[in-house]
Amino acid sequence: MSERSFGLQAPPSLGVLGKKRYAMVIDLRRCIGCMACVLADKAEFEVPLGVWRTWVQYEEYGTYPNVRRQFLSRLCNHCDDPPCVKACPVQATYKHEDGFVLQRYERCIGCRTCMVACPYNARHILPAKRSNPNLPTKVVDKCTFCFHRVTQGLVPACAQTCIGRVRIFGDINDPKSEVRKLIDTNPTVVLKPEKGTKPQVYYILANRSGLEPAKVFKNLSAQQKEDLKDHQEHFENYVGR
Amino acid sequence: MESIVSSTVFHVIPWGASYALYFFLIGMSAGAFILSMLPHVCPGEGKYMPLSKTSWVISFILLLITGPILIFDLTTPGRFIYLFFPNYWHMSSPLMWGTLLLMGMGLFSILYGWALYTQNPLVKLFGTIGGLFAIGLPIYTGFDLAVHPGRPVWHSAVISPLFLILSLSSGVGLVSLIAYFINKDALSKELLEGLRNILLFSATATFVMLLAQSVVLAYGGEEEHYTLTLIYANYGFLYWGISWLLGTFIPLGILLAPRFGASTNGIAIASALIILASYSLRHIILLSGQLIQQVY
Amino acid sequence: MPEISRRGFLKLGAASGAALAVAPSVLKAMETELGGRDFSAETLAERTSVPYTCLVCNIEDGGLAFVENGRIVKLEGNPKHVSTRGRLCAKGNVGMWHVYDPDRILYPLRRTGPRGSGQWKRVSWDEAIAEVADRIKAVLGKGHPNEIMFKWGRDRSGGATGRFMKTLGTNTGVNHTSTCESSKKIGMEPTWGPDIETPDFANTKYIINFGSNILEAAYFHNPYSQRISEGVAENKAKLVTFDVRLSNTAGRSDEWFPLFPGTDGIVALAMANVIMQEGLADTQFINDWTNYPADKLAAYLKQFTPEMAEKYSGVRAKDIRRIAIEFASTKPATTYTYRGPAKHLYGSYNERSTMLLPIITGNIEVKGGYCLPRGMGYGQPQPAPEGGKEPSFLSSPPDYPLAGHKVSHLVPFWIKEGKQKISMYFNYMSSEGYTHPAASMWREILMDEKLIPFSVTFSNQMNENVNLMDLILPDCSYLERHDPESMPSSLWPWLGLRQPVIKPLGEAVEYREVLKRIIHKIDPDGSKDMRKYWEFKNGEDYVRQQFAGVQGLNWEEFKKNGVWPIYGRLDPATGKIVGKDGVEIRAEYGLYKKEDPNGKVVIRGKKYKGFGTPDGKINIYVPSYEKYGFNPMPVFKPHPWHWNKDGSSKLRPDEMILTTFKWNVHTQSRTTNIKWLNEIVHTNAAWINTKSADEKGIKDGDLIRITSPVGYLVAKARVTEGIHPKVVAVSNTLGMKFGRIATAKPRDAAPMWAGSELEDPDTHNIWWKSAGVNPNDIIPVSADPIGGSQGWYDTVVIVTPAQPGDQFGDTKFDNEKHFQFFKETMRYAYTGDKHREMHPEVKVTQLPPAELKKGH
Repeated sequence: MSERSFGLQAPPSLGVLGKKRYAMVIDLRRCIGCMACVLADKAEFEVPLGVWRTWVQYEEYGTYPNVRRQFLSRLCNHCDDPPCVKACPVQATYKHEDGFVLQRYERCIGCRTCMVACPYNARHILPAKRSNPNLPTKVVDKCTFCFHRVTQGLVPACAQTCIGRVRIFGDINDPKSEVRKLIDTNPTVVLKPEKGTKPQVYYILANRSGLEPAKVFKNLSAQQKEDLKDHQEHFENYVGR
Repeated sequence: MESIVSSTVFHVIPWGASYALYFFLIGMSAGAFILSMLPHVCPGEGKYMPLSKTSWVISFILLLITGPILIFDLTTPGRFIYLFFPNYWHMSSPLMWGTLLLMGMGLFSILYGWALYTQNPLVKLFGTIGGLFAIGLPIYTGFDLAVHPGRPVWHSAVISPLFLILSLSSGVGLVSLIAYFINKDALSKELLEGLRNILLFSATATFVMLLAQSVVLAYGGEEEHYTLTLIYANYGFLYWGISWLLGTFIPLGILLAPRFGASTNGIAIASALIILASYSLRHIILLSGQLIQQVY
Repeated sequence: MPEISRRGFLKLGAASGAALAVAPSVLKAMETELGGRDFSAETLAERTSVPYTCLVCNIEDGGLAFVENGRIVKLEGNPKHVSTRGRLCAKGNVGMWHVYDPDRILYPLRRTGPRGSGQWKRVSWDEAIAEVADRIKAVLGKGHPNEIMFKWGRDRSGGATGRFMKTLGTNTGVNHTSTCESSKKIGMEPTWGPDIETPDFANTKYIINFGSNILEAAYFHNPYSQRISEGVAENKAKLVTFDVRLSNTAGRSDEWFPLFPGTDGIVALAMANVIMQEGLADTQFINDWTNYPADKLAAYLKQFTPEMAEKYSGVRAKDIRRIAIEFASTKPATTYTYRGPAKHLYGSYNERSTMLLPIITGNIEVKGGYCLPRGMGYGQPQPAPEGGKEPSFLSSPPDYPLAGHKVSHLVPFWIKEGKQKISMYFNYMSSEGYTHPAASMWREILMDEKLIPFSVTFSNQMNENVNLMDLILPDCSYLERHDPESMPSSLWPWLGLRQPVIKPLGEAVEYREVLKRIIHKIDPDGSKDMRKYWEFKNGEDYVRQQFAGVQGLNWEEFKKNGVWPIYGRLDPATGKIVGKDGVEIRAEYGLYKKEDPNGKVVIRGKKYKGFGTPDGKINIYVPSYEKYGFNPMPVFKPHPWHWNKDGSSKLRPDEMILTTFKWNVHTQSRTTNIKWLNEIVHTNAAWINTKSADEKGIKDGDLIRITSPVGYLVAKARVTEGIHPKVVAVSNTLGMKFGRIATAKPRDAAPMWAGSELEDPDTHNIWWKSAGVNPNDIIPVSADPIGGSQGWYDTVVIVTPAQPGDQFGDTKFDNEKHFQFFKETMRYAYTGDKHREMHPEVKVTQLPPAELKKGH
């Protein structure tokens, strides 16, 4: 079976001999929803308010007194067949041969096609105001799997600080890597596999209902609705009022 | 009690109403162009000749309006020029198809207009090529949405043909409406009959495709089905009132009425309603496909 | 590894589409390192790092701060730190915003308008120091140094405060421990010596958690959460939580048992009873290592039946039996507690009751069990002052003879009562007018220039408390100063160093340096015998002297590593510390069982080190309690506000209990103006059970009034299944009225106390409009007669839909009523008329008199 690879600068490399395919396993047996990953990421990239490269959803389910809470860490899936890359008209976003889906700020025109293409909402427009004026604004940004750290032999910042050691990063094509071992020995799910994106963030023990966007939207709390409205109002021009 | 998913992470709606407006205007421009070139290209359609110049002017003005809408919707408008750098081109992106189609449309609209006004025989050639671009434009705006499997409503093979039909109906409708206001008495019976046929055909096609899209959504996955529910809740008036009732059923009724349907008044009212629906449908489709993911 | 410059990288890409694929491959084949280095994502340049010790909360994690162009840009855990293991929590990760807080106070400020008016003028350090010194001299001149009061909270100066007080001769020192966990400490200390346990979560098989939210806060959130995750995922440990609210900890537990507030003790006692009756207890351990024989204990516990526990707690008797049997028959197992059981009237009894479970099952000091804390000490620079002779009532109130961690939250009432005259008030790392119960009472006395003629704070954050001070001395943030550190947060003891990562911003000066300047001003020539205690060059010199006596510690190495000792390296494959042999380092267990010729415990002819109690054994029976007429055995005292004498509920159907809690992204007061944390949690709705809300006609998001006997507040309801139906919970972490981020008012001009030096353009991206409400003004004081700690989770309230005109955040309180509650709680104190009445079972003929004791 031939892989679909049009529009990609690097063809899918999952399971391809001699190729690397970086991936992340999120082992939710260990997740405590502490938000350290979210904030390590905010600091690593000085991510402005209102946008996120990674985040954690809480899901509360059950009926008193049988109630549980489950967490779901989210980030770019660095898909092996990334629809965002195909959709970008100017190749501002592209796929690296080792699997990273990256963004070139100086080329991005801000058409937001990649944002609509992403089934996971992993992309955002950078607001016009930032703490560090040297950093890009008004263009699309996203999680890079900490390409700048990985190329220096370091794990991504979120995995670095992960208290529960939930986030494990590595080359899934390497049979000796921890990610590969975890995937081989545990049942895993990926988000929205039916969208054909070949997502490369694998979840162990993810709760199904938290993965379904419609369910999330349906059960918004009153406070969330208020926050959503405030967020919408502030970013209706995308770059912040 | 159902589960509560909580987080304070929200995502903007990436494509707002200005995209719907662009789809709407560029569609009308294309529809009007088709009406303009029809009598020059198709031997049997001479009846539309009186509207040819008006149609082209309308089409060209709309084309000029759409460019800035697109450019100023970019968060970095100055960089729109990148779209014209061949070494940046990315042919898998419908936006790139759109760029090329818009460039082609612009070029051939000018050439066609020149030939039209100078009565140059090349009008047929330019009309044919321009017409192909005009058909391509609404089709590509459909692909702009339909190629995204991650978005409910959008990822449907019906979007492109629907946008093409809406383009035809709104373009022809706009020309009819303007012709009505310029000089309604100049419209011949044969011309009115022709306009009626085009509008009737496109309104029927819209009805079929809208029905198909809604039924498929209702039977779709959770996200699709729930989006339909959200359409009812958030866009009830636009959906039922404008798109279905005013934009489809009433025009169909008017156009099917044996006498009134071919009268200047009948055509004008039907045209106005069809134009309304052609915007509201695009608005609903564009925005509803992005609602749920604000919180996902 | 070749370095790829971003420029080169982009050029490659920009050339043509096809060339993108030529972008450099990630060459590294092996697994990546966990940290210790950091690179700019913008320039790819390596950042310089300085090790430090965190102080966003009190866990004291080891950190590495990365600096770029003189600015702290990234914080991560110190990989050499045996407890932190390279990781930080959410709050720790964004600690740089304590330095760059746009509303930070950077200069000494003197009040110009009336107290609380918010009118300030900038003064020079010389002026400020001179004023403080003059005022101190005036007080000392009158011969009553105790009129100088020191109120501290999160003081990690490692003794500087005490040295300062002793130098001046005052004993009037008030901490904040009674608002935290002091009854837990007073429950534990007489039982086995130390004031805390160190459970071996990583190696355990069963955890019963009573009322701690360890996965979000509590001692020691980060290190313990790491090990709980290990225990649960790698060791398949079962986690069972008893808590009134579905915290993240409860939510992630295998079983959550919501129980009525304050009834943890009776549940634990019933479990202990079941374990004894079922023959699952380790009777050998009980007989050898405790001061109470197993058979007597079994007989004593018989009164606490699971059915009785069910009646109070609401936890089904069959569940109590089942969990008790599971716990006792799964080895190793441990319990863990924090504020849940302890923060009640008689919380000390609750703590002692829960301690029984690991004791009677022999899980003390075993691998995977309930272990003693491993502490490590440091010294004080010499010479050290001796201190004043005059005992202070506020510091050690005779009404609470067992409350060794003070009763700080009753202090404003005692000041108002005139128990002790105060001429000068120092405040350090404490926001009593905001974080303490009856916070409004603190503000009242701090406003009163007759009661507090002069007040001074060391602070860099404006808040409800600082706003009432006369003089503000800008303190360094924790990333700009020195402190000595040590915490028993792992099974391996460690010493940590807090050291400046960057030079202090503005005119901030390190606390101990300010104290030194004050003393030098008072005693410029040493003639007053004060200066000699403060002859250190700077903050580093002072702290260096503190570590000088530690055997094997090299100061330069310590500064380089930030922690000592270093037990091994962080293994990227497991996230654990491994030794030279590549295997995880092994902890030492059974500390009490070490043979020791000087040991107090003799078992079958051998002498052992034993526990830190007078007889070296675990004191199930505590003689010091009995001395003062308290029950020496673990016991359950139903709260007189909640229960009738016959055990029936006193609560009317519409009455509920108000509890408070912490979020994982906030501390109580210091994080309220941190933008990234506020973005995640910026408002604090009141949690209320679906059923209770339905009964009251309250829907999710509705404005509600929570009315306590001393006032009311208006909050929004968060209707949830995750809370006990008789409980309403409001977080104690939001609602500060100062700071543009805390109040979600980014468009306000920079406040006059802050200036505009640290303006952060990103503040304009504050997209949320909701802020919080603080419950502390409507929570009356209540003090555990034993441990002295605040009964945070005892307040009886009525929850109703809001009334017309109510606005979110409205708070009304009545300090007269607060005062009545103070009088009421004093009736349960050792000296109060209810003390004997509450302890009919304790047969003591004569109680020692209540006496003022020395010490601060």
